[in-house]
Amino acid sequence: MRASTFMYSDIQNVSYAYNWVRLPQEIYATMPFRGYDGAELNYFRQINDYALNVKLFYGYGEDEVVTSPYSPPSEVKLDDFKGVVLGLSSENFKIRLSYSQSYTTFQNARLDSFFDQALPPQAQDTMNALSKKYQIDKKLVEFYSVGANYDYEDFSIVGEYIQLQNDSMMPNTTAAYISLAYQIDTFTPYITIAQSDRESNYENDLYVENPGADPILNMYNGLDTGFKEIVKELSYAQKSKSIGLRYDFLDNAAAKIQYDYIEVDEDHVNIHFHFDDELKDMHVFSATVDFVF
Amino acid sequence: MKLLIALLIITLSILNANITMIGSPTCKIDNISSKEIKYLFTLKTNTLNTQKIVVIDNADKTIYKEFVKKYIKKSLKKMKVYWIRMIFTGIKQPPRKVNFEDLEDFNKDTDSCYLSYIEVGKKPKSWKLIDVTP
Repeated sequence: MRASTFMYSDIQNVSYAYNWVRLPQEIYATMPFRGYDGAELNYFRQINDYALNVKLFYGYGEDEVVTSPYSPPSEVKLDDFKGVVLGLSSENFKIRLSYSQSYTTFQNARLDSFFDQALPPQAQDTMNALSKKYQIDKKLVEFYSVGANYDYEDFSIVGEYIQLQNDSMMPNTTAAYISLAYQIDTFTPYITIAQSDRESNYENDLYVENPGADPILNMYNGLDTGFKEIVKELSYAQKSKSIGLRYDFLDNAAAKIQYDYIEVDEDHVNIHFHFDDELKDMHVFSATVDFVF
Repeated sequence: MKLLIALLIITLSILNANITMIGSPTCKIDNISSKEIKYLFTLKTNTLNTQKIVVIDNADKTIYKEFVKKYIKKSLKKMKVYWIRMIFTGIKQPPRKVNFEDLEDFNKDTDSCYLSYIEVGKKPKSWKLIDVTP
């Protein structure tokens, strides 16, 4: 099943159902796994002009995530994955709140080799403490999200705001987007702005301010630099401005084109190519044809 | 000016006169509100006055388009997206689409009230017209 973490999560792979070529990655890339095994309980109730929807879900997820073309895929496991979604909609307005959490494990070859490297005995305890504190091994990861959609005649506006909180080396995230679309018969032009910010949990535990000539202290600083590089690879944060056009040329088919201008903050990496920290500004042109049958 | 008003009235009457609601012989309802039509045909409810209702969409694209515009008040694209979301999340399936000539086949089921809509003047003999209240 698809996790219902965000507003479009459950139809993320059905791109005919939304205007964009791809969902705003500032939010949707924070949940990299594709599905989970478990159960969902859905409750609907029409109360006068409002429809109330409550969804509870529980399960277990396991997936592979490509973090870099130069290393094997990472394994992501979600244990005790659970959440609740509250939705309230009227004829033109919809608001959705959700909370989900899981005990997450992230196994990555580069990360494993960093924590497993052979060190002098006096540094091994420090490394063990660092591994316990920051390694993503059954660590609690929580997602909070709020989303809303409003339709006025041929205009449609949609926005979402999310927070990811955890105590591991994975940076905490806040992200949001807002998109405006206007339908003119079979054409729907749209604009979107989105932003994600990431804040590292790493407290410079390994850094030594004045190491002098001490080889062990200098080694700590070397480890500090190495660890920061790994953390940075997970720290993808960017701003994007997008403009696009959807053309429903058949009852069940739509062609879409989209242009994204993406800016990346100095200490972060971009979402699409986060293994390349030199890539700071990007122009992305995309085109798709989506159909349903 | 008079000509303009007359043209407007004629245009509005053409736009609104094409569809009428109908029910199978077992239906105990004589009238229905626009809001109830919307809730029933988006499957947000399936009962009316305690009677179970099964809705049927018209297979004629022009009639369906006019119905969606008039009662569901959504564009065809938004209606399609609504059903795609319902189908892919496993919540519900859209109503069956049936030609008006085949509606009387549903008379065999005497337990359910079938509700549909047709172009004015094309009512199946055994089905009854249902008035729409604002």
